[in-house]
Amino acid sequence: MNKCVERIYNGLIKENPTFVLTLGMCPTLAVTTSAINGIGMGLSSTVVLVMSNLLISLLRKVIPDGVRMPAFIVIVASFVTVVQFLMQGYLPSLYDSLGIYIPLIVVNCIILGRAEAYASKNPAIPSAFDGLGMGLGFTCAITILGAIRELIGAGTILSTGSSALVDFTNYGFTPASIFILAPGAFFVLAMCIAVMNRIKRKHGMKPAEVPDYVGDDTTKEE
Amino acid sequence: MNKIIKDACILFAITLVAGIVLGAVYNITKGPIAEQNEKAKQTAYREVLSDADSFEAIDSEKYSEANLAALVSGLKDTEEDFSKDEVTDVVAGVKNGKIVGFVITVVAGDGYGGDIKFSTGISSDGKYMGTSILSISETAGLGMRAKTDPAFLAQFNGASVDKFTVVKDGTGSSSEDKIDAIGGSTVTSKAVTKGINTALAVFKELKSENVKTVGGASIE
Repeated sequence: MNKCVERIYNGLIKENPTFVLTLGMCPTLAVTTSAINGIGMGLSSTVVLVMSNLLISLLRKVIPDGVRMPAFIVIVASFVTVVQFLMQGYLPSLYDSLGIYIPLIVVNCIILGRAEAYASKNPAIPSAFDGLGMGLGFTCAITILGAIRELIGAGTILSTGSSALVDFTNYGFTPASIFILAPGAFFVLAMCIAVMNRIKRKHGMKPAEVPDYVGDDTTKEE
Repeated sequence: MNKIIKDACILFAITLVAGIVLGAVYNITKGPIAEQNEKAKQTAYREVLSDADSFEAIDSEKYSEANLAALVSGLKDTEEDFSKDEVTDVVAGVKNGKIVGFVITVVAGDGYGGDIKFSTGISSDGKYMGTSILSISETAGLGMRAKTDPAFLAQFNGASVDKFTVVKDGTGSSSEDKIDAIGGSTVTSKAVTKGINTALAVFKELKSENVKTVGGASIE
């Protein structure tokens, strides 16, 4: 069980997919215009990450090394499509709010990255927790990005479109629209990574250290 | 050589299983998805034309789906350029066997972030009743306010005009055919307004031809 907790810590802090590994930049930059968007995208990706890591880990002995990439892609894409169909048919209100993110999940390289780097070399349970940790790390990171961009760029906190928790534009705050446009994503992302590195350095860790992946259970292949 | 064949067979098996699973799930969910789409459409219609009890297709070759595009191109000779707009659906709102209005679904092709699709309700006496945006991908916080900020679409409410015009000098409230642009989103405001003008033009055409519904209801 310790390993599962370690995997979640790893995904949230040590190897946070957005701030440390800088994986999955396309959805990160595209959807973080508000905190709610970040939560929606993050949670949908988390579900897919956990399930695809689990399935790929279970199949890791069956899939030959030479064709593992196409096999992973087929599994991830089918899984996402199944989730999309089911959501569209039976949970239309959830589909309305998350539907636009679902096709983006397929191209999110965090999922393929984790399949390749972890799930294909480790047993099922730690792999599922690795997916959970990475997913939560991704969710936290893009929610923070979204919240900062939303606050500066639109002057609101947790706006759902028609209503917001706090709307600073009512108190004479003029939002800087550039922060919800594409350049704002780069500004905020860079600042977040800088802050993250600063904190890590304070605690004696190397900034943005990307560790060498070797399956930590048994089967070294080379 | 053997290895290649073995790899290929395993990959083929995985793809085959994935294909079968996808096919099965598609078949199971096809019905419910169509049902949900229909329900969403009906909800949108009801939202923009609350007077009607039911919505019926219109009995005219000209307004069958295939011909709607041609109809819009027929509108091109007006001063505005409608060439980027496409009419996808026209239904009549019926109450007690009479047409009380029409709901016209337009895709405005020149939004800032791509197509904007919305249904506009117009009562049979030519009064604008409401617009419900079905899909939009404008910039959040800017053009997206066309959907999220009810103040923009509320400007159209209740007007009986031939066409709306977007103004940027804040004089929108001075006359019912003038619409204040959303700050920083003139392109979106213009695209939506022009789409609504398309709907108004289609309405005029319907009215002048005195169309009936498939069920036989006519304009009261």
